[in-house]
Formats: sequence, structure tokens, C-alpha cells
Amino acid sequence: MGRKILMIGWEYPPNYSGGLGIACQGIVENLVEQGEEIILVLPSVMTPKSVCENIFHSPTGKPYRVIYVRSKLRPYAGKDGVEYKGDVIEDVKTYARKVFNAVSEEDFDLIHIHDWLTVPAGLRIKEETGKPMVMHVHSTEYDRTAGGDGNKEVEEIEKKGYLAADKIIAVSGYTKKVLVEKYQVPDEKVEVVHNGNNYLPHSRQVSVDFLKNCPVVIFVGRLTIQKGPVYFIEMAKQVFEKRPETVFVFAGDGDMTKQLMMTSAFSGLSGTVLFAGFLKDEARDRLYQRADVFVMPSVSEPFGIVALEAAVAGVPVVVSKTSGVAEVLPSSIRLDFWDTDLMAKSILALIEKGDYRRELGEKIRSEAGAITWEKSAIKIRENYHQLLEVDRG
Amino acid sequence: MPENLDFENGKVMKKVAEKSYRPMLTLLEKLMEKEDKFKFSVSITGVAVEQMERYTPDLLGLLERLAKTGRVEFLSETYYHSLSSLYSPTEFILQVSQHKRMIEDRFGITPKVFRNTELIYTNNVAKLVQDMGYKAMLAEGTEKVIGRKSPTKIFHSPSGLPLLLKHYKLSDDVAFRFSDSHRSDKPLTAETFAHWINSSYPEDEVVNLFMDFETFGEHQWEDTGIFRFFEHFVSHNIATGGEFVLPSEAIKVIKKADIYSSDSPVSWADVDRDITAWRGNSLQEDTLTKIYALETQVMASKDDQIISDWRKMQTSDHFYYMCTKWANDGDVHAYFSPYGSPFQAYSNFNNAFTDLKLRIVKKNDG
Repeated sequence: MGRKILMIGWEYPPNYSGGLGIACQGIVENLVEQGEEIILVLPSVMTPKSVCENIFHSPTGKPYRVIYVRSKLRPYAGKDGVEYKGDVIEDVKTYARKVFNAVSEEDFDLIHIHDWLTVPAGLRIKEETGKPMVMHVHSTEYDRTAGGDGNKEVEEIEKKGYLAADKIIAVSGYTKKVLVEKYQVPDEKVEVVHNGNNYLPHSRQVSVDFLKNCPVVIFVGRLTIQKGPVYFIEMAKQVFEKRPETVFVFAGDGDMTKQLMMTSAFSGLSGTVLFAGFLKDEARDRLYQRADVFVMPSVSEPFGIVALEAAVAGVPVVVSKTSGVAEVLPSSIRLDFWDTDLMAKSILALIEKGDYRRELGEKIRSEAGAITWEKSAIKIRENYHQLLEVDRG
Repeated sequence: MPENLDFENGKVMKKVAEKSYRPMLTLLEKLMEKEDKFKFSVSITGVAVEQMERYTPDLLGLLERLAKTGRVEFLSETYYHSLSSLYSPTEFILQVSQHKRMIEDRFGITPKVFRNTELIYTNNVAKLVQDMGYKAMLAEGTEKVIGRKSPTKIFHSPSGLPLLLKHYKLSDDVAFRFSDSHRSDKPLTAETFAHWINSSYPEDEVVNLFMDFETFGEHQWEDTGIFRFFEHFVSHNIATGGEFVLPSEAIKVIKKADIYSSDSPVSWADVDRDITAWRGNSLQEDTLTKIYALETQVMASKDDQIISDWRKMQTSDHFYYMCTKWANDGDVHAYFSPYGSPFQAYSNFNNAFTDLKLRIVKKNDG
């Protein structure tokens, strides 16, 4: 084999705030499992030196190198709705320079980058080394700003990446469509590789002894326009009228937290809609295992790993049509994010009909069980292979 | 409640006791011995007494000794420092009765004059208080209600309840402006203050100085000289012919003047003198509406723990912490909040409220 991949990321467990960190880990570790040699570069605010090297291990113990370069880059981090305060464009450029310096002595065959934050780093290295570059698209500025006016500088950077990449991997057919239609990327340049799942809710025993005697409907994700949290409240208001005992939980934080609390209270939903903040690990497991319905009303969602996590826990999933995850979960209930009447109706049906809910939960659990990072990694490797073949030819 | 969850209560009570309650009560006891013409009135909630019992029992000993002098009037209020007067007459009457029993049992005094939470007044509240048999009530002497009339007379509600109005200018000279570095005559001396008071009203009227107990040592720290000022003021006032009078005495000797009438709530809070500090945004309005909407179910549960928890959740501070008026008053709010923001305060209350709601459902259905 002897293929060496330089992977550039921007968040990774144990320090992550969103789906990208989880996805990146799934990709890297399964590629390692399948025999690829990976050098993973990541930003870190806490490195004692400007560059620090660690050895991580895949689940079966295969090692891979992780190079941390000191950087403030944490675009979605922060608690209690407090967003990262740095100049993200400046930090992205600085990160590119530092990554370039950190890997100047490294030998590799291919560059694999993730989203616009790693584009300047990838471009710089590609220009210097002439190595082929794969760009993995987990989300676009179009998604993050819910189709509204994106940040022009960010768009500029991501477009450069789409143009320069030798291959683009989109996390869903939906994202491929966005790339082709909104960014005019040639159809044949984009391959769809759905995310996998590495969430095992039964790997530990957790207590679900909370919110007793009431239906629980959950939202997991950043509280920001892209994720459509406002529609969750509109739906909650309608369900509350019919089933006032229902409790709705927002698990996440973001720039809309305060506004959502005001809206929720204004709608008379105190004691009905709860704000749990960003949950991970055991707290998140507990929520999935307690939930009766999971809702993801995203305005534009390239994939939506959280829906897959809920499905693995056997929770029926209601998602917007404008999300990628629906492509791999045929039993999910799909609707328009703005159609809160239908959303409320669907959720009421799930709450009221226990048999239907359990049946759907079991079905979606088995669908989710078949979705693995192993399969995603195989497809990614096919793309590597093709690229390097073409390169040699 | 498990001990660890109560940690913050203990911490705050001990801190404020150290800085304010203990030194001021000790000073008051000393003044009672030294000056036999000195009198004062005090109001303490049931929840404060419960917390003193638990964390600073020596303070109750001090209060009990003061009560025995016969020159300290204990006022009536709601046991839980709640806004129940604005939401549920039934609940209001129950909380006032509970407080009255507590004052009688502990201090051997039956309160005769009522002071509502944060001095909140409406004509309806005055009527309820009058019907409960109280002789008078305290209220804010704001121009919003009395215009340019002097608050040194005794007013009365439309239903005829005598009202003692807070002289907010002179009260706030001590409570808020004592150590204000912008004032020209800093520091305020006992002589100056006594002079201001004596030039504010004729012989047969009264200046009502109402302030938070925490003015002494907590709002105004010890190093401002607040304790020395108070001690000197009391002696100086008596020496120069000033008289201290208790609320229940004042209403007997001072003639009634005008009507004080307001259908919308008046309080002593902030520059607005209304209740927007507790009910000024959706977070506050909805949680208040929701907590009082539970009344029937709570009472139907007949569960003492549920009833007591529900009442503790009515304490006005919970809603004060959710205040989003961030002007001058906002600083005051932030200083007294244990939360990082009004939204954290809301979220925490929201969780606790949901839990209470589910407990009630379980109890009443099961």
C-alpha cells in the first residue's frame, strides 16, 4: 500500500462542539483501520509549544500521528451562547501558515481537507508540493446562513477550495446539489460519501430516571439560524395545546439562545420548553435514551449526524427535507422545515400512538445500525485510489 | 433538598450576616440600651428566618432580645417575600397569616402594620390588607401618585387604610447616596442629615425613612463609615429634640390627609417605582403567570413538601434575577444575582419549575 494521507482538520474529539469533530474522527480512524497511513493536523489553543506531536490510536489500537499547531481557531466553540470572539478570517490564514511550516518536512501522497477553514492551508501545501487534494464538504456558507447572505470572504475562500480541489467529497446528495446548483461546481467532480455512525448508546449504562411521566421531544444542535430552532418552538406551541404535559428540550447553545428563551416565554412555554445547553458524552446519551421523538428542523443541513445518533438509540426521527441524513434513513419522517402544522401533527401522532412510535423506533434503529464509517472509509479510499491513478497516468 | 444544593443559600446568608446583619443588629441593641428614646421597626420574612435558623442562629437571638425591649415594632409581610398580592388574594392571605404566626411564635409580638414585598401597593392590595385587620400599610412616596404633596403626612387608601409613605429622597440619601463620590457634601454627616430631616416637615408630621436592612454594611460597606454615621445620627437627633416614632404610633398621633390612589402597582424599586424589575419582560411574565396558575393543583396535592417548594419558588428574587433592564438599575440587579445572566436565571427557574410541575402531576394522578 504505502499511501500516506495528510489530513487537515479543525476540530476533533475530545475537544469539539459539533458534528464535524465526530465525523472527522469516524473518517480518520476507519481509514487507519483499513490500513491507510494518516498524518492528522489540528489547531489547538493549549499546545505548550507552537507545534506538538501526539500518537492517537484507533479503536483496535492502530496508531496514527496527530500534529497540533497552536491556533485560536475555534469558530463555533463557547458556552452559553458566547461565540468565539477572534477574527476568524485572520485565524484561518495564520493557521494555514503554521500548518504549512509544521508539515514542510513531511512526505505524503495526498491532501485531504475539511471545509473552508482548512482551504488556505490545503491550497498553500498543494501549490508547493503539487500533490492532489481532496476537499471534504461537511457544510457550505449557504447552509450555515440558511440560504441568506453569507460572509463574502468565507464564500471566496470556499470557492477557491472547490475550484482547486481535484476531488470533492460531499456528505450527502443534498450537499452535492447545493454545490452544483449554488456554487456551479461541475457535477462529475463531486462524489457523495454519506457519513457513518460511531455512536453506540448501549456501550454504557446510563440512568433515564428523569422527566418522568411526560413525552419528551428533543432538538440537538447549535441554536443558530441554520438549524431552524424557531420552528421547533412553533411546533412545540401547537403540540402543547393538545398535549400540555409534553416537554421539549433544546440541547445546544448558540447565537440565538437568548432570543429563543424570549420567544419561548412569550409563547407561554415556560415549564414546557427546556434549555439544556450543549450536552456531550453521558448527558447526551441520557437524553437520547429518554427521548420519545427527535426533531431536526434544519433550514439547510448537509448531513445531520445527530439524527443518526437518535436513530441508533431507537428514537423516531422527524427531519427537514433539506437535510442529507434523510437519504440514509428511509424511515425518517420528512417534511418542510417551515411546515410546523405538519410537524406538530406528526409529533402528536408519535406521542399518542405508542405502538407506532416503538415500531418506527425499531425500524430506524436497524437502518441506522447498517450505516457505518467503515463503509464511508471504503468509498473515500476508492476516491484516493482513482486520484492517485490519474495522477500517475 | 440535599445539603449541597443549598450551599449557595448558606454562603450568602453567612456573608451578609458577617457584613451587615450581625454588626447592625449589635449596634441597634447597643443603641436601645444607650438611648431610651430610640425606637425602630423592622420587617423580616419567613424564608430569612428559616435560613438564619439554619446558618446563623445567633442573629435570631439578637432579634429576640430586641423584641423584648418593647420599643421595636415587627411589621407584617408575606412569609415568602412573594408577589402573591398581585396574583392570588387567597394565596396572599395565607402567606401573610403564616408570617404573622411565625412572628407571634418567635418574637411574641402581633404585627399591626403591613409592608408588602418591595413596598408594592395597589388599591386592591390595600383593601385586602385592611380586611385582614391591619391598622396601616407602608407605601412609596412617589410623585407618580402624590404629585407635589409632601410624603410627611399620613395618607390613606380609597378604602380608608392609613398609609405611611417612604420619604424616598431622604431615605435614598443614606441607602444609595451615602458614599456617592459625586455628591458635594461628602461624606454625609449625622449633623447634615438631621438638619435635612428637620427642615423637611412641620412638627406634627413624620419623615418615614424606609430602607433595606442591607444598607448597613452590604450596600454601604463598613469602611464608608455607615455604622458610625447611624450611631451618631440617633444620638444627635435625640439630643437636638428629634423624636423617633413607631408606625403604629404615628398613625394615631398624626392626622390623616389626602387619598393615595393607584390601580397599577407602585413599588420602591429602581427609578421607575413600578414592578418592571420583576415583571418587565416575557421571561418574568410567563414564569410568574405559570407559577400562580399551579395554585389549584398544588393545593389539591395536600403534600406539604410540594406546597412549601411551590411557595419558595414565588420569592420575588427569582424574577428579579431575570430582569433585562440594563441601564443604571441593571448594575444593582447584576450585583445581587447569583447567575451570570438573566437568561441563566430563567433557564434554571424553568428547569426547577418543570420538575415541580411533573411532581404535582405524579402526586395528583398517582
